[in-house]
Amino acid sequence: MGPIFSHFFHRELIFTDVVYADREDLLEKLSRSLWEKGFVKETFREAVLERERKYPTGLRILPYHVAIPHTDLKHIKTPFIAMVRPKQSIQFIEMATHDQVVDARLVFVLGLKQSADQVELLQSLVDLFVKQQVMDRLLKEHDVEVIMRLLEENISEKGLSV
Amino acid sequence: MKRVIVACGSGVATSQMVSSKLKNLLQKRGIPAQVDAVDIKSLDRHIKNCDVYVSITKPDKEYPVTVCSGIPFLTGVGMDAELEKIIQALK
Repeated sequence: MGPIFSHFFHRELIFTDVVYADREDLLEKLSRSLWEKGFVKETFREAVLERERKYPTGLRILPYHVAIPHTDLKHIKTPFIAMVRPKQSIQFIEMATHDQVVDARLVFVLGLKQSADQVELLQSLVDLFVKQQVMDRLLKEHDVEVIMRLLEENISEKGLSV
Repeated sequence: MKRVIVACGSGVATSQMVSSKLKNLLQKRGIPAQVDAVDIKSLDRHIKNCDVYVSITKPDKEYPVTVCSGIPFLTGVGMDAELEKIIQALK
């Protein structure tokens, strides 16, 4: 496993087929889990909820809409990217709007600690979002190992540094 | 040199990515411009010395410079049209 990939992606941060009432429920539960596992400070929960209300992160991208919640780096303890696949799609508000709803099938919560170095990683993630075959598999695979492998194979480490 | 600023809610992640992409695209087209990612909290200060503001949030007021959307650079959808708009504003 490449060093950059394993720096951000962790088996215990792949959540599949979880039932959430809505996006706030998703962010609350995920924040709790991230805090229990030592990835974020206790302040992360409120910060990510607030940020999502003010500056929503839903992306109207094809083949499937996604969301990339994140917040200020001061709330992060250990860098991570968590993948959440809700059992049913969750409504997020589209980025740069106040009211356009997108049904997100996958949610990637970004816990980036230094911004400049991680541009390529984010670009690589967006490149992954438009790969139909990979996204199809990410939506249906049950084995966390398979999901990790899919992510690793499709997230290029070219030009990345930790 | 003309200056483009890119702002998102936290100045992390999305604005950094859009500014880096835009920098490359402008370079490829041979358009000299400085592109900076800024924190939305310091937007009012930066807007005074820039030519184009690329927004990744919904602008809640009018600005005295050209305002473009950063979302096409994030998703790739409609990117060429938005790039043209920025290039025109930089001429």
